[in-house]
Amino acid sequence: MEIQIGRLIEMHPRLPREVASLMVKRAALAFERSGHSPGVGVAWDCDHAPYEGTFSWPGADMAAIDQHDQNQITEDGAEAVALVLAHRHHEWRVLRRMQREEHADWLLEYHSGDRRELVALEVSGVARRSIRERLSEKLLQVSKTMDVDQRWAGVVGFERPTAALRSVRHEDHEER
Amino acid sequence: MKNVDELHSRVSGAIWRAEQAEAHGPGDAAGEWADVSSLEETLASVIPVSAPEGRIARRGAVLAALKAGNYRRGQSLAELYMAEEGAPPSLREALQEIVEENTRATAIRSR
Repeated sequence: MEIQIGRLIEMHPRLPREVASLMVKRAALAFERSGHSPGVGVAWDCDHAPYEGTFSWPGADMAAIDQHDQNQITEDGAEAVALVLAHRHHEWRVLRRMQREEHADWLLEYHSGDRRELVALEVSGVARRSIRERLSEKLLQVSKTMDVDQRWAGVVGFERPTAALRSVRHEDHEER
Repeated sequence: MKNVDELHSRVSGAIWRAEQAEAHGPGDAAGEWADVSSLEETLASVIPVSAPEGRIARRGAVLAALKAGNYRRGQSLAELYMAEEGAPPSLREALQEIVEENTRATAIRSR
């Protein structure tokens, strides 16, 4: 499966163009900062189902990397990747951004026949090391989101490119 | 729906700008959060409280007003939404908690 991060804006037409553009730019910087090039091989999982393929992005202007905050490169880059994966795997589309007190970054929607569901997605990026611990933290966080049908966390690792999208199961977080 | 879609898009951009400004320092984002509160209030006026997005917008209007440092506006919007016909108990509790949490945080900061 080929994942083209530059398609973010067409997948999520409600994302403001300037926001989507900056997110894609920071995803490119995050991957290239770790020594990767477009077309890099990646293994990721979507709710425990494993996938392999390539991630590609419009080339980054590494000379401009100092104009960006390093943490924002990681976090915003991860958001671009997670939103592209969410659309590729589930056809979810961004409805709006959430404020942090809602315990999620994005509110997404999808239609299945006459049924419409709302999905909360909390995203984080990891510049180095494993994504496993962060994924547990983010699942716990998004489990507290109100007024949605599904709660998901997405974590993207850039050092050794990887990603995971996982849903909160009721049995995992019964304290919600 | 086009109007609501456009408002959702605008509130996404406004929250994004506020978060980016906040990264430079908490005091730098008050104006941006005021914009967010205004857009959330507009969304709340066009989406009923019975819809999940309507409840998210109502909490958002109050939260952003408080983050903008406008306690009076936050309190006033919270009272308005808590008194709204059809507002579920979960929304009323969440709004009450948002205001109380802000009061506690302000008291700690002013010590």
